Amino acid sequence: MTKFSFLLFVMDKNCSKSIKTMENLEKVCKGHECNLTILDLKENPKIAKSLSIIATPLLIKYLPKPSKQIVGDLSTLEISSLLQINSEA
Amino acid sequence: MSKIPIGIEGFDKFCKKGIPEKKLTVVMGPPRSGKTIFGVQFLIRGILISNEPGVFITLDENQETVISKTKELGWDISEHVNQGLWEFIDVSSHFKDDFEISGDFDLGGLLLQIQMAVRKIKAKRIVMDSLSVLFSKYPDIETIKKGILQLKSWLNSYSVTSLIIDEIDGEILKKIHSEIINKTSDSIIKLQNPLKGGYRTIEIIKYQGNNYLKGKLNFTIQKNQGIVIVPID
Repeated sequence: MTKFSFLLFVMDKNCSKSIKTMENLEKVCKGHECNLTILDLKENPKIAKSLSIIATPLLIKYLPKPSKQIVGDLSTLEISSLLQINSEA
Repeated sequence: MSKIPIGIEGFDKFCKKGIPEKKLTVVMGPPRSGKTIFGVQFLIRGILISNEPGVFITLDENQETVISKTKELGWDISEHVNQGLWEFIDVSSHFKDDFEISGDFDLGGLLLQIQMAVRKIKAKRIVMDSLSVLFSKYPDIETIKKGILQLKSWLNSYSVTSLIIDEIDGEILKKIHSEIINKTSDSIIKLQNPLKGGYRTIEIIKYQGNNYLKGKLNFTIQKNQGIVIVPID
């Protein structure tokens, strides 16, 4: 079991697209410990500027290291991609 | 149709007082053909002549580089930033990061940043430099097209005239870009820089309402003036 920590930026956390993204992430991480923080850019628009966010949804996996950014509703995401060891790290 | 002057004297006359107001114009051309200067000049002249604030979205070079390159031409962007007449959206660092794309996405973050900047300084002009860089990281024609159309209708409701810069380099890219550009733009201006010397050229290849003069004009880039049309003898 891997312990994951994620930050998920969405445009409106109650819209169907955001809910679908969360469900997709849940499916991929099934059986693992998952710590997910959701940030709604509509409620906190300044974050979009300070973090230079272009596309949404945007997932940042910061644990386990190395950190990784994934753009999209995660419908094609595989667990291997989250566990991938980055050689540059 | 109302027009808005670009700020290039001979060229504004050529397209009969400028580009369509509240619409989207694409400025395309190969590398080093003067596209960024064209965009900067559009905002600077908007500030100096019409007192219209402008937003510059930079995806490739960071804002310090844009400011220093422009200083070499004799223009002081920093002064306008301090006056609250020029706002940068500098997302160049984002385009240096690696990321993966999985499934559907939209350009919501970018649109949000543009909306905040336009409201902040009550902008009337915006420039995005460039579509090609955006496409290189988000190679999804439909998503980009949808994002631009969304942005366009929002900008129109705020009476903002927009200019998108697009680098055309190579035939495949040209085809992909034309699918986005032709479906979203109201006007298209093309810049060229001849490889074997001679003048740079500017021409209109699409213009809303079709009321424009066809043909190429020669231009040079000069200190304190930017793009200057060479008069026809």
